[in-house]
Amino acid sequence: MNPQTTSGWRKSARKVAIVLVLIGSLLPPLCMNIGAYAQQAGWSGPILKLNRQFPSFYALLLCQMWGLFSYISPFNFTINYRVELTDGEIVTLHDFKKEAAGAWQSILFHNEPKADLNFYANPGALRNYMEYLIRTNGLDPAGVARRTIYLHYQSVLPRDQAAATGTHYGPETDRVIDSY
Amino acid sequence: MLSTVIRTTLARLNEFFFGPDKTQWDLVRIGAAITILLPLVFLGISGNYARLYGHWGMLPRNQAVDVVYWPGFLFLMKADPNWIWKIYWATIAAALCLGLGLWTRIAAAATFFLYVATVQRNLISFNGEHGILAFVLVALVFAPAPQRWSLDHLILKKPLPVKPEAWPTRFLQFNVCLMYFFTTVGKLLGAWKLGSGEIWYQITLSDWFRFPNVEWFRTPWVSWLAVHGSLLIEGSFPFLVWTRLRLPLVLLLIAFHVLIAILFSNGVLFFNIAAIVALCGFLKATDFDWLINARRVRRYPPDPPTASSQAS
Repeated sequence: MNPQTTSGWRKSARKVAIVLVLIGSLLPPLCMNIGAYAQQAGWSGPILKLNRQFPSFYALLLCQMWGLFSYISPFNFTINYRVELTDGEIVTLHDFKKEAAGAWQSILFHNEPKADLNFYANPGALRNYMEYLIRTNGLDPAGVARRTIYLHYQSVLPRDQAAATGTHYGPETDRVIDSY
Repeated sequence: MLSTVIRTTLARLNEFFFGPDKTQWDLVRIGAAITILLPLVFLGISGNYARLYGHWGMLPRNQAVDVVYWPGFLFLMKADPNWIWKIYWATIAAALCLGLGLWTRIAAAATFFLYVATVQRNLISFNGEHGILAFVLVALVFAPAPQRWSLDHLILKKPLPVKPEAWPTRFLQFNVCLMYFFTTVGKLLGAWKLGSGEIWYQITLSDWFRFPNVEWFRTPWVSWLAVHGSLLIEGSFPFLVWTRLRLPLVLLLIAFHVLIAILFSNGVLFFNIAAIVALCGFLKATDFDWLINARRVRRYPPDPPTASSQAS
C-alpha cells in the first residue's frame, strides 16, 4: 500500500477519534442537565430518562449539574449543634478551628457558607459533623444522651411585606432539623 | 452538489477542531494554578484541611470508605494520619509546577487527579469552582505545550509547538458554554417571578451579599436590571461567543464575574476567579495586538517621510 495513503488514513482516523471522544465527553453533563431541567419544567416522557447517573464522569467531577446562582435560600441561617449529657447538662458545641481563625475566618474558611448549604442538603453529613464536634469539644460520645441540630434563621420578607412592616427581615427563629 | 456541501462542511469542521490554536493558554494555566494553590494554602494554615479530609476529620476514614467515589480512596489508602499531608504537599508541588509551566502536561494531569481526589474525599467541601477547574485541568492536559511563558520553554528550551491544534480549546469552550446555557435555563425555571427582579431584592438581603445596608442596590430598577441583564449576558453567551462578538462578550462576562466577586462574600470569590480563568480560554494571543501596537506607536512614533522615501 502507498505509504502516503496509509498516513492519510491514520491522520483521518486520529481526527475522527478525537472529535468522537470530545463530543462523547460532553454527552453525560448534557444529558443529565437536559433531563433534570426537563423534569423541573414539568415535562414528561423519555426525555426524563436522560437524567441518569454517570458515575465514572461524576467521580472525576466532569458531570456537573450547572446552575450557578440559580438558587438562593429565602432566609439567612446558621446551623447550630448542642448535646444533652446523661447528667442532664446541655452543652452547645463549638468548632474551635473555625473560631480560632477569628477575623480571618471569612478568608481562611471562605468555603463555609457553601459547606453549610451542602450540610443542609445532606442529613448524614450533618450527623458526621456532630460526632466530629463532640470529639473536638472533649466530650465522651457515650456520655451524650441526646444530640440536637437546629437552624437559627431569619426570613427575608418580600418587598411589599417589608414596606408594610418597615423592616426587611422577619423575626429570628430556631428550628430543630435533627434530634436523636 | 451534495459532495461539495459535505466536503465544505468537513473542511470547516477540520478547521474548527484542528485549525491553528491561538488560545492564551498561559493565562488559563497560571490562573488555574493560582485558583488551586491559594485555597489549598488557606486550608493548610487554618487546619481546615485536616478538618475536612483528615482520618479523624468530619468524615472519618472508616465511614468515608462507604461513601466516597474512587478518586477519594487515595486519602484512605494508608491508616497513618500524616498520609493526608503527603497528598497535600504533592498537590501543592503539582499545582506549582503547573503554574510555572514545568513538565506542564504531567503537572496538569497530576493536579487534576489530586484535586479531584481531595474534593471527592469529602463532598461537603464541594463548591462551584471545583466543577469548573476540573474541566479546565483536563483541557490543560491536552493543551498545546510548552507554552511561551513556561519553564519548559524558557529554561528547558523545549520548542513551541509548530502547529498547535484547537480541539483542547474547543473542549474547554464547549464546557463553558454548557455551564452558562444551563445556568440560564435553571434561572428561567426557578420558583420565582423573574419579571420584577424580586430575586435580586432577596439576594441583596442574604448573608452572601457584602452590602446589605446599601438600599439603592435593591431599588426596583436596579433589581430589574440585575436579573434581566445577567440573564441576557449569560444566556446569549453560548450562542454569540462563536460570532464576531466573541471578544467584547468575553470581556463583558469577565467584568460581570469581577463585579460578583466584589458584591458577594468570599464564599464565591474563588468560584468567580475560576469562571474568569475558564473564560480566558476564549481569548486569543492576537486579541490585544492593537493595544500593543498602539503603545509601540506612541512610544516610537514613525519617522516623518523623507523626500527620498516620498519619491520612492
